[in-house]
Amino acid sequence: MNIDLQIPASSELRAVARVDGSALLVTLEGQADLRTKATLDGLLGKVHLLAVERKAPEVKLDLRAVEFMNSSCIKSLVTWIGDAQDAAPTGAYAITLMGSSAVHWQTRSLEALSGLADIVRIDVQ
Amino acid sequence: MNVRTVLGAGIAVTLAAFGFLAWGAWLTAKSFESVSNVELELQRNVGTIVHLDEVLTMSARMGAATGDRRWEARYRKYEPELDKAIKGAMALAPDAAAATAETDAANVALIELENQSFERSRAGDAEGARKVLFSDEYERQKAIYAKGASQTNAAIERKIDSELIKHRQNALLLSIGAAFALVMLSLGWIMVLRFLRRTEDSRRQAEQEALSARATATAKEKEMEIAAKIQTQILPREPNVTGASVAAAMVPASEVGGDYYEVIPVEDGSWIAIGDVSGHGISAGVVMLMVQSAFASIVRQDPHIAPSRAVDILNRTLFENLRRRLRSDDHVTLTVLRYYPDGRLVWAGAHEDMLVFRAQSGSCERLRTPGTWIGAVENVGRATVDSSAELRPGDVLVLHTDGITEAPRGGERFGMDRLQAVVEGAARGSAESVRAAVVSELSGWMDRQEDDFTVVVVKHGVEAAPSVAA
Repeated sequence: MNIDLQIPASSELRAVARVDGSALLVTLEGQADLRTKATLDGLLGKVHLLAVERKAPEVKLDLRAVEFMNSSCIKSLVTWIGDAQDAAPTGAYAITLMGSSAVHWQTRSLEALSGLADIVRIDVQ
Repeated sequence: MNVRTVLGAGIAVTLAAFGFLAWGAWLTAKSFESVSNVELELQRNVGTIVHLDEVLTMSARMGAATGDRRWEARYRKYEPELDKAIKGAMALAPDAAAATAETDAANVALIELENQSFERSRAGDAEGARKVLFSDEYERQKAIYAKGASQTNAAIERKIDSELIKHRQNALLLSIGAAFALVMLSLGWIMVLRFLRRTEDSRRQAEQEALSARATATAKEKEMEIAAKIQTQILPREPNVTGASVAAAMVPASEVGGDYYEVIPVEDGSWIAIGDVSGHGISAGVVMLMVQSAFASIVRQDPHIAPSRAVDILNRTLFENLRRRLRSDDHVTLTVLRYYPDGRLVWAGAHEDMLVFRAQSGSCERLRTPGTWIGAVENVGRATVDSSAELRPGDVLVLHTDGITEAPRGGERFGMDRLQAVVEGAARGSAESVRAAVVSELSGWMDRQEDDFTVVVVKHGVEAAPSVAA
């Protein structure tokens, strides 16, 4: 079942959220750069609130279809990971970043993101 | 909708309304004047009819009584005038035609009797002449005449009253129309004035916003100037590294992106660092200064420190400053490398993949920079490891920031493959020639520069005059 995240539509970056077992699965597609940073910030903020409200044990962020992400948007991911860490213990949830080894930015950035906190793990295919 | 259109429309509607009202008032006045004229003419005619009837009756009776022919002459003079007056009344008041016709018929009968009287008088029959004029028939016709005149008069008055009522109604309608038009025009002009006030307010607001935007732009330019100074003036000057030649370039974007590189020669080789602050502008410049100062202090204090340990200390310092003191959410991608003159290379910290051109094979290897970024979390020790490689004479190490691989042309990015091809094409030359080739190829390829870009080239086994450009 899809969840309406109520974020402004962006033709460059699109998101679909749904419940996947006990986890919340958010799939992103498109380009994440300065033009879409506000959209990404809004999206990750909503995802965080949703995960805490629903007491979801895990949020999976599928980034495989995100062809490009610049440093400003990566910073948004860092901030989100920080928020998830700060939500512990009552609102704690794990983060799985799903990526593709064929996408350059993902090969170098996802590993670094996973090193930021124990709650983050990566699933690169 | 612009001011000129609104004002033009308002004035046009106002003029049209006033024109319509003036035309209506003129029509009413003209019509009223016409009714008044008809009324006066009718009243004059009725008076003339009554008057001339008395004149003719008196003339006829005096003629009969005195036998004086001058009374007949007087009678003949006024008789056509009475006829003319009766015909005039019939023409002016068709509604009173029946009554006027009765008057006319009685008049004809009276004239007939009066002519009979004149004939008898001329024949010397004074008594006969008098009898005709005082006969019952004459009195009857006189009564019919008087009644007809009275009815004509009443019909005329009714007609005039009716006309006056009609004109009063028209005048009332005109007044209501004028009042309505006045109200609508007042409302219309209130709307026009409000529109003008709103337009004026918008214009003032736009002016204020333009002024504010100019002030912000000026402040931003100033900030960029300071940030660019911090970023470029803190770069290493002529690094002289034992065992290698080094060439580097950093090209800031118009909005400084926070690129950083460092080369610190030590007694047995050199420390090299490359990184990118996640923010932009002067705050990125300040973070870069922190990294530069802390890194220089750490490796000058202990040139033999493990790169992973240096990264860990740097992270703790930066985390304390950024997250705890400045409440900033910036972080830094950073790789620090220890280079030894014998070709050993040890590094730690996550940044971009590094390229190593192998002179023997003529192609590049990509070296990963595992670990995580600094400044975002308190402890990166878990993820930070030392990695190592060995350079052989003629090998070229190329470090870069994402401003190179992510440089755009349309929807395309420069990418690692193009960078690798450029390095492989130029690496047989000097470190400087590799640096120049990367800058030149990239500058010619991209259609806009969105971010700073930095390249650091270390050619092992060939000591040469160092080259640094910014």
